[in-house]
Amino acid sequence: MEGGVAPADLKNVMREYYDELIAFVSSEPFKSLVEEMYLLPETSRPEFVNEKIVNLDFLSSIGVDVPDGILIQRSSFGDRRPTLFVVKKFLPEEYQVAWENVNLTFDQSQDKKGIAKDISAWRKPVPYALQAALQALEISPEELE
Amino acid sequence: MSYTIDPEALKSETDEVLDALTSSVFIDKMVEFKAKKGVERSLFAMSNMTPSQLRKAGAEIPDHMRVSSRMFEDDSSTIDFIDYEYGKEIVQKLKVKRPDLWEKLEVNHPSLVTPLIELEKYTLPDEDTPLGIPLDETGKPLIDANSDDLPFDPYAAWACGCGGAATACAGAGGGS
Repeated sequence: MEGGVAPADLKNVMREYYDELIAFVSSEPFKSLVEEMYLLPETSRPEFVNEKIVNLDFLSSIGVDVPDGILIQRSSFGDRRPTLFVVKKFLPEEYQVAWENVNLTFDQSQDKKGIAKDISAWRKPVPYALQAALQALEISPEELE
Repeated sequence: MSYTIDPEALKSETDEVLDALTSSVFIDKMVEFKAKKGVERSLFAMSNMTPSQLRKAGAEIPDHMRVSSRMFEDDSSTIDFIDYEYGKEIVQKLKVKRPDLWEKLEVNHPSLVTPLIELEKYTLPDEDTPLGIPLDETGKPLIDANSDDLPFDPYAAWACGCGGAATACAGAGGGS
């Protein structure tokens, strides 16, 4: 493998980084916050994400201590998966030969038939703000055609 | 839908994803993907980086795994590779065709409206910045993956195992 990193070593590092992400999302009070989001109707979740989950001031106010190197962000996929937010960590630079980061992505429930698995998954993603609004309205872009 | 974060389930899911992500075939494809730029990267992604193509190359890709482009907030390196024009078109259609829904958004979800107004004002820095792949009404791409004139550019590659609400992913490219 290029860069002199053996696949087994890369796997070990990625495993270690996934474990850090799992430990964080499983820790209180972040765990309860995420579970509270999933009790809401899907239409209310994008606002909850904006106002609470990616809001570091809010997280701090309820006692969530986000470890150094862990990022909580919104994103959008080319395959149009209805995603909400992601908890992500970059691998050490020397291991970024193939993959650069690992993450846990939190989604809406999804009709998997509507998510591209062919080359159209390589479309440009839509702006995540639009994705959030469409989720809140329970409408797809195709329904506006 | 309720969801309980289960560390053991996440560990199990990430174990499965890791087996695929760190297979020598997938690693080699990712190294090749990252070495390419622009249209060359597009061609490579579409010709080599769907789950079925990766399986044909010998990678063991679980049925529920997806490989896709992706963008993140706060990532200036991917800002030009978001489909802003399509996004602006959808906002316009929402306002014109479904003013009831636009009003609903303003009344019930005001914090989601401001970014859409910003989106409407956004001007692409380069008018020639390509858009996404055009699809026919069945969702089939209208562009030949081997064409020299692809209308879009790839940004980053992402592979995700999809279990429940939480999904394990790994990504690279586009500086994300």
